Parts: sequence; C-alpha cells; structure tokens
Amino acid sequence: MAETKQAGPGWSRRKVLKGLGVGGLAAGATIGSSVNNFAIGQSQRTVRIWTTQSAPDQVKIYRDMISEFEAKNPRIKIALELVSNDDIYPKLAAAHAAGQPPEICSNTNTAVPGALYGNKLLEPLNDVAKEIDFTPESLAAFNDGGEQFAFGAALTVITTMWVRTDLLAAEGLSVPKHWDEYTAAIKAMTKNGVYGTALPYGKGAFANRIMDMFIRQAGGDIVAPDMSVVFDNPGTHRALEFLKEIRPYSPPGANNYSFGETLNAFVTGASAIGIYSGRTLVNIWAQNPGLKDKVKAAFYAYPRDGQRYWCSGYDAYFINKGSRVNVDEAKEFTRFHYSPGPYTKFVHGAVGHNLPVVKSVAASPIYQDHPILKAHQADIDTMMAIASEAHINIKPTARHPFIYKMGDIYGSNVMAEVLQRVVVNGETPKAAAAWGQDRIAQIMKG
Amino acid sequence: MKVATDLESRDRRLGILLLLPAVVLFALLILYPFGNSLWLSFNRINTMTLASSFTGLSNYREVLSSPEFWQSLVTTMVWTVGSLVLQVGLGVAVALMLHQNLWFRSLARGLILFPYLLPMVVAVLVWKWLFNDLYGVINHLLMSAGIIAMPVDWLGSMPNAMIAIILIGGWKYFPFVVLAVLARLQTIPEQLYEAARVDGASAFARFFDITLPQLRNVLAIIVLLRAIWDFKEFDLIYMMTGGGPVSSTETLPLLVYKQAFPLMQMGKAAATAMLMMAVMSLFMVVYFRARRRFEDA
Amino acid sequence: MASITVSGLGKEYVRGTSAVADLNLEVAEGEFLTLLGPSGCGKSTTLRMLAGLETPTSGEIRFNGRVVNDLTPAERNIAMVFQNYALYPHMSVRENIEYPLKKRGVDRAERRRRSAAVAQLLQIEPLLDRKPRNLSGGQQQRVALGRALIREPEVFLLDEPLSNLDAKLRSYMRAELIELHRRVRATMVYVTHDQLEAMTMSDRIAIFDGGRLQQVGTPDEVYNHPANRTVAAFIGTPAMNFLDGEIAPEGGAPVVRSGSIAIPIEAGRTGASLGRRVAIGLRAEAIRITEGGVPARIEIVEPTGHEAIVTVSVDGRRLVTRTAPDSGFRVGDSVGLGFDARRLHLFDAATGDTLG
Repeated sequence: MAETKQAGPGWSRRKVLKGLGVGGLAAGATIGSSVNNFAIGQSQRTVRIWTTQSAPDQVKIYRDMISEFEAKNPRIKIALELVSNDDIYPKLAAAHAAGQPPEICSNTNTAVPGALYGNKLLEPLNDVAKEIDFTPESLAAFNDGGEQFAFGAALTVITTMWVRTDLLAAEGLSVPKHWDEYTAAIKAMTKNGVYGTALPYGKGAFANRIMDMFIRQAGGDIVAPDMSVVFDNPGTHRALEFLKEIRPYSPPGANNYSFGETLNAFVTGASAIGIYSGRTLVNIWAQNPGLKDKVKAAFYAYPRDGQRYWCSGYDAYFINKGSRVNVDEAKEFTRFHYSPGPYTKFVHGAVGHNLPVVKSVAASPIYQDHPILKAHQADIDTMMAIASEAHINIKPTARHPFIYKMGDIYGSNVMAEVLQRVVVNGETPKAAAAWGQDRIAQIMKG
Repeated sequence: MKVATDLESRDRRLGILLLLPAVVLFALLILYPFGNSLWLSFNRINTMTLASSFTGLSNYREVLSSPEFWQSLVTTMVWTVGSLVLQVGLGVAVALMLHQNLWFRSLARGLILFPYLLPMVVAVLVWKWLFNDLYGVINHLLMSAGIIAMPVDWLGSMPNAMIAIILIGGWKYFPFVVLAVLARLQTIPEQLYEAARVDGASAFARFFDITLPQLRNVLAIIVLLRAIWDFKEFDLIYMMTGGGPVSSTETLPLLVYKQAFPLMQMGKAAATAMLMMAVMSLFMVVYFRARRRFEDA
Repeated sequence: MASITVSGLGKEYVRGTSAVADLNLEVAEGEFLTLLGPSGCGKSTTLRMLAGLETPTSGEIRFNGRVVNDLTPAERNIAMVFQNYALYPHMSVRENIEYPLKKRGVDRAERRRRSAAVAQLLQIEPLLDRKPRNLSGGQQQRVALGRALIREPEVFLLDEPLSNLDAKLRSYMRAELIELHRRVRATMVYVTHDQLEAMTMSDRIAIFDGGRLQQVGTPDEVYNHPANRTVAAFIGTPAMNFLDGEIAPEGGAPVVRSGSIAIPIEAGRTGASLGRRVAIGLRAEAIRITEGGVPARIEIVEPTGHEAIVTVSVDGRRLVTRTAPDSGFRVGDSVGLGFDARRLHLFDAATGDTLG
C-alpha cells in the first residue's frame, strides 16, 4: 500500500465509477440503490445489511429480528438487502469503490472478508467479540494477529457429502470413503434418470470451493505458505483429471451449476450423492419429505493416498469500513444479533445449515428443541466432526498465513474457469493448470 | 453603427446563453465521463481501494496483447451478428404476417410486444427454466419427439450456449423490429403492389422489388441501433451464462465487468471499455461509408 | 388487341351490398371506352375486376371470347395506369419502364431497345436515369404510361390518370392521350369522374351510378339522348335544368306545363300521354332569353369569356341558360324566356326514365 498513492481529493470513488459508465457497465445499479443516510434525518441512522441467505423463512426471521431491534432502538433503522453468493464480491467491490458499502455483510464466503481486510476495508470487532461467548475456533478463523476482522455468521459445512442410503443399498454399496469407491458408486447409481452425483461445474463460487477441496485432497496447493503461487502442481492435475473423469455422472447441465442447482438436484432426487451444507435437510423436509429417512451426511470422499481435507467451516459476518458507515449502530445490531434469543431464531431459520457459533446458544435446550435437529442428530454430529477438521479458504492449513488475496482468486473464478477449460473445452489438466497458475500469479501481484 | 454593434453583441450574448444549457449538458453527460474514463485507462487502479498509479499506455498494451480481448471481440461479433440476423429476420417476417388483414391482428400486435416489455431478469429466469437440463420444457419436448435421447446441456457447453443466448436475444428484441417495420409497411402505397401484380411480379418478386427497398431506410436504422445495443448487451448474457462455459460467451461488456470487479483492475477495465468504443466507432464509420456508397449507386 | 365482353358481372364487398351489380358491357377491339360516374358508382371496381385486382362475386369477363375470371393480372396481358401513377420510388425511370419486361424474362438488350422506343414516343428520353421523386406530375404520368405501353398489352386500363394534374396540364395530357390512342390503336378502358374528359376522349362512354350501368353510348348519344334523368343530370356543363311538370292539352295539342311555363310537345312522342306527371329536362342552350315569352328575372350573370352563364328565376324556380358574352344583362333585369321544343327532354317523374 505504501508504494501506490491513495486516490487524491479530486478523485472520488463516484467519479471513477461514473467514468467507467461510458463503457456500459451494469454494476452501477448496485450503487444507485444505496440508501442515503442524510435523507432519513439526523436523529435516525440507517444500518444496511447484505445477506446471502434469501430463503423465504430466513428472510421472514430476519425481518422479525429487525422489527424487534428497531422497536428497542428507535434511533436506528435497518435496511435488509438480499445478494446472491455468486455476486456479493463484485457488488461489494463496486460499493466500496463508490464509498457506500453496506454496514454489515452476513453469511458470505470467508474469502470475502479476507480480501476486504487485506485492503483495510473492515472495522475491527474486538470490542464486540469480548461481549459474546463465541466458540474459540470461530474467533480464531477471523483473527489476524489480534485483530478480529470478522465473525462466523454460523458454522456452515458446505462440502458435506450427502448420500442416498436407499440407492447405495440397492447397489449393495456402503458410503464411499475414497475416490475409487466414490467413482464406482456414482457409476453404479447413474441410471433410471438419476445421476450418480451432481457437482457444481458452473463458473461460479461453488466450483471454486470444490476445486479448492479436491486439489488439497489430492495433495496440491494453490498459494504456498511462503505466498508463492503453486497452483500448477500434480495435485491440481490429479483433481482436474478426477473431476473430468466423473463429469458424465453429473446431470448434463452441471456445467452451469452453482449452489442452487447443485442442492436442487439432490433434494429433488435427481442425484444420488450431493454436496451441500445442512440446508439439504431443511429443503428435503420442506420440498421432498419422502427422502427424509433416505439421506445421510458423510465426510466427502478423498483419495485413498491423499489428504483428509474439507473446505469451509464458517460463513462470515463483518462490518465494512467507510466514511459514511454507521459503525456504532452496526455494532449495536451485531450485539443484538448474537444475543441468545435472536441468534437462536437466526440459526433455526436454516437449521442444520447455520450451526451456532455462540456457545451458550449451541448448548441451550431451546436451540436443540427443533424437529430437524432431533431427527438428524447423527448428521449434525457428522457436520460438526467435518467442521472440526475443515479449513477456511483464507487460511487453508495451519501452516499457511492468512491469504487475503484468496478473495480475489475466488472472485475472479480462475479455479472454476480452469475446471471448465478441462471439462468443457477439453484442455489437458496441465495446460489449464498452467493458465490458472499464470492468472493467479497476476492476481497475487496486482 | 454603434447601436447595431450593441445589438449584435447583445444578440450574440443571448445566443451563447441559449446554447449554454445544451453545451453544459453535453459536457456533463458525455464529455466528462468520457474524459474520466480515458484518464482511468492510463492508470493502474485497484477497484476496491482506488489506490492508483499512472502507467501511461500499459493498460492498452496489456489488453491488446492478451488473447482474452481478441477472443472476447470475436465472441461479441458472433453474438451481435447472430442475434441481429435473428431479430431482423424474425422481426420482418412477423411484421409482414401482421401486416396481412388477420382478424386477430390488433390482439397479435399487442401480444408481440410481450417479450420486449418483459423485464430482462424475468425473461432470463423463464428461459433458464425452459433450458434447464433436468426439468426444462425444451429438453422434454425434444426427447419426447425422439430428436434427442439424453437431455442436452444448453447453457454449459458450446456451441449450445451461444445458440441459446442468440435465440433468447432474438426473441427478446425482435418486437422492436416488428414495430418499426410494421409502421413503415403501413405507409407503402397498396397501388405499388397492384402495379407490380399487373406487371407480372410474383409474391416473391413483390417482396424483393417493392417491400424490401421500401424498408431499406428503416432497416438501416434498425440495424444500426440494434447493432450498437447488442454490442453492449450485458444483463442477458451475464445472467444466462455468466460468460461461460469457460469464456465462450464472454463478450466485451462482460470482460470489462470482470476486469473491473472480480479482478479489481479498474484501469484495465477502462482501457478495454475505450477499445470497445473504438471498435464500435470503427464499425459505425464502415457502416455509414458502405451505406452512402449504396445510396449513391 | 382484344375485345372485352362483360356479362352479369357483380361485386359485393359486404354481403347484400353491391358495389357493382349485373353489369353487361362490350368493348370493341381498339375502342376507347370511358367508365364515367360520381365517386362510389362502381366504375373503379369494374376496372379493377377487368384488371384482375378484384375477384367478381358473379358474372364473367371475357377477353377475345376467352373467360379470364381466374387469370392473374399478369396472365390477362393488360397494362394499368394508376391515379397516383404507382411508380416504383426506388427505381429509375428506365427501370420503372422496363420492369414489366424484366418480370417476363425479356433480355436486357431487348429491354433497352424497347424502353428507348417508348421513351421517344413519350418524349421522356432525358428523364430515363432520374428517380420518380425528381419528376413533375406530368412527367410521372408519362412514365406511368410508358410502363404500360412497353408491354404492348391487349388492354389498357387507366384509373383516373389525369386527376392529380393541374387544370392546364390535364387538358394537354388529354390531347396527348387521344393522340396516343390514335397511334397505338389499343383497346383502352378509362375511368374518370370528369365528364369533360369522357366527352372529349372517348369513342363511347359508359355511365355508372349506384353500382349500375345507366347508359353506354357515344358522347353525342349520352349528351343528346340520355337514357334517364341520372345520365342527363351528370352529362353537360352547365348541368341540365329540371322542372316538375304535367302533360296537358292546350288548344288541342299536348304541352308540358310547369307553372307559368308551357312547352309544346312535338308530334310522335309516344310517352307523353295526357295527365302524366313528368320531369322536364332543359339544357342551357334550350332556353333563350327573348322579348316576350315567359316572364323571368335575371339572378346571376357569370361571364366565361366566350359566353355568359345566366341564371334566371321563373316564379321562384331557377333556370340556367347561356347567352353571348356581350348581351348586357344585369342582375334584376326583367326578361322573357323562350324554350326550344326540339330540345325538350321528358323523364318519368317516378322512375326518371326517358320518355320517348
């Protein structure tokens, strides 16, 4: 940061965006929608929240929480905005460029606060952290040398492997632990309109995640602990080879799949093995209850000679830095959000998907008294077990430092594009990995 | 004489005053953003922090030497020409159909506008659903008709993805062509067709000898406008394919977006946008030249 | 060249409403026949049926004895000149003229030869490379004629071709058309609402009203021997005067009487039975202003140069007559009227049919 000069006084963020408008950019829409604080009056202040959690039940719970908060704090107005997981990073970038970021972002990929923190665009939350009994793991995940730049919104084990026990049993198979068993299982189960699996091959956030996981399971790495780019390595090649080999056992449209499509394929019964968080359970209960007793959570298969590696852990919650950000009000809402009553409702909104990061809530009988949690205790336990071993992408292993640029790497979809180059374009894993290596190196440099 | 000069200078001052709003608007709405964009393109800028440093022409050098830009340009041309041909073909055909004295003409004219008025987000959602691999009507119909055995991956493979967005582009924008062409058709005197019938022109010949030449001017405008709009189309493609698979449908506007936001290279994005504008201007010049030559002939 | 026979021809656009009803008509080879009548009389519809642009709902059209009802306009080998000329705006004059040949597959050299000949005939050679929008009305008219002529068609159909021209040009083009007809000797069917055009150009005139043919005859016949009151009223300028009257005996000989007017009826007029109610038709030239006679008052004097049209009133009814331009009548003068019994027209008061 020292070698580049900061934008001068005549060089406002708005100006920059307006200038780019000549090229016909669409991103400006986000900026236009921002709420102007001054319009509301001096006594009242607005806190904008962007969340990726847009299921109707969750939105309703959020709105109830907001009403309750606003009743207690008439001075503060909360504006909730729904943003898709695939879009939130570019939209936040645009919002920061315009100098109008939302106060709070909730349930983003961990890479997002990583990238923002790397650019010094997040408020430290150490004071709030002290007041809430967060699990130590969830605090550690977003603590850089003492600075608490984000919280876990919830524990969300997105790379949980979901299997159809009935279909496995029909083939006389058990839950696959390793890639070879997994491949055999999905081959066997691809029939009668059902696909063995449904992996997100689309050029989006989910494909980045599975690439990240498969590469590391195969012994590869992306950015080494010494911060050198090592994407083009045998582990990456092997992961690509594997993903290409099993492509026929995902639905034909999987090249466009991201979160929603992947989840739907499993919930509707179109795929026998799914990959998603505990939301799988919520959706099955709501949309396809016939599958309730036929699904099971498991550790995602990994190579017999490879690494036990699973991604994720946490969805992030953070407060943006900015001259117009109402930090105190945002923190006030944050305290409220994580207090036992509201936070229990919040995690109940997508039970099993959002696992609590507040110790007292996790242990409370009120939280545990939920039909889905009771019926699927074993699956919840499995997810907790995965989480205890899983890593967040900005700190891929204990040996790695925080890699803030991971947000840019994820945001640029380089890994998803490498995957598509191999699967769609038929490039060799080596060629595609070399291209990816080059792109990631550029991102790390820029 | 002095009076005259006074009047003259007062007139001149009034003239300038009257021109001022237009000049100010022009400067504000066109010159300023353009100049700003141009300036951006000479800098290396992180989108998120706006940390910047002047780098001269290096953004242009990088963009022009990257195969990505050229591939994107080709993709943009394929998309623009493809959807334009479809829009104009479909638009003229439907306009000719609606020009006939059909009893449901006024109803049909209302309905035909539907795709054009539908918000893009809604249109994309509908089409995504139609093209869906597992539950989509298109695959279902093709399979039940026995044309395909397995579901086709419409949006995740090539050339299907390009075909799909061209089809949707054609569908979304052909009503514009219908409206413009229909309006023109209604002003072509019926006597011209009668004269041609008497002169021995077949229905085919009447279309090519009378209708088409009469439509030439309106088609020229349509092609010009739609070409500009299609060249800059963003939301349709972004929402349908996101530029994928890989970057097969990544047109220049999507490339600019990608550079500006996920990649945070605002300067490079500005440079690409400027180049995009240059390409467009070049095509406009060629177009007008060709048209003038055609007119003179 | 072709003869045309039309028998029992009818056209209904809307069921029950005839645009043309039960039309029977013969056009001789090389004849110039004019279809004349007010707008909406069925003359244009008839022409368009001859052209093949409209399908008859009943009856037959024959060219040279051959039924052409089911032939397309092109197959009938006709040429048509439209009111607005219908020149192809994007084609040059030459291309316009050559278009019918081109569509018939005539080769380029032949087309050039024939378009040059036609251009020479119509004196439009200098215009050949211009576009129609750069031509005057008269020039466009000639180009439209050229496009019709080049085909050497069996029949020329002309739909009010002069009505868009100014008065001076119109009379000039009338003469041109007559000359043209004389030279090409083609069968021509000409539609107009202008009786002057009809009278000056036609071999015969067919007069239409209300979708029905009223009379076919030479200009002299339709002027001097109109078949009915409608024809009599339509033909002639100024229009014929009409008075209600009754056949009455006077001094042993029958007269037709209308108020103070009594005109003797010439011997041999069989339709004039005593007591019959009639319409009296008097052309302007059948009324003379004299000394004595029926008392009248001058109401309007309209000098036209070579004569004066004078409107007089006889017990409240107006009559139009013509006099020499220098006769010196003034509005308000009391005069007497005389009537030319030989030029007396009598029509049935109820049906309007001419009484013999």
